[in-house]
Amino acid sequence: MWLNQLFTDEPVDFERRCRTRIKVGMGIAFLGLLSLAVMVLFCSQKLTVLYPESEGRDFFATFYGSLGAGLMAGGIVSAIKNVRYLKDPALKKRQKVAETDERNRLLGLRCWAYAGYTMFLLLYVGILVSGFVSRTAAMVLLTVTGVYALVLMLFRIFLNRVM
Amino acid sequence: MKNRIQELRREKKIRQEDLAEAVGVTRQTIISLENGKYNASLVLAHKLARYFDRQIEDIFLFEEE
Repeated sequence: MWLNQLFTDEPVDFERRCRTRIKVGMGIAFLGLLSLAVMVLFCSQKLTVLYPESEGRDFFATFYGSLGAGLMAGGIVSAIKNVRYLKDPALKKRQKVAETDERNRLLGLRCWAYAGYTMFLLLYVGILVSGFVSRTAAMVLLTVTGVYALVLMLFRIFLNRVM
Repeated sequence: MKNRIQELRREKKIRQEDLAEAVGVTRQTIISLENGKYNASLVLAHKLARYFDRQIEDIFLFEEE
């Protein structure tokens, strides 16, 4: 199962991982292209937004344009990098050791954990502050915190069963 | 947990890079192991024991708290 890769002692099929990343990279690049297409359609007046267009026009073009360009660049770079890993044996060997190294994998997991704790704390501070600024913002942050806590609990239950 | 990796490596006159390559980890992991900043997994401990031709308990020194 895909989640098994979270366990540091699970073996990693590096070639398969690279091939998956190439496909995912191309998928992300496609999503970027889609985002750019939406921007072009909006700018050529073929799409509209649900709020006053005068407020949204600049935001829409910048947001979807940047998002699309970013996704396309990221996806293509990721795909090219992984194609290079598969084609160059020396590079592949070096990258495989770096990615399958147990300390690096543990570091990655700990980074996620610490980022999670920090995010939770920031959300809490955000809720406290946003209550004074905007009720909508406070409700959005509260919902995000709730979903976050729920996902955390579900993973706790799931992982408790599988390990 | 203390270990004798650095001592055994020096006995064998090999570099950290060579040991790292032999057991399939990065040189940074060997450095962290030698400095006692990181404890090896059971799998890596077995690989190191096999590489040095020793028992795991000869390499990793378990100290009860």
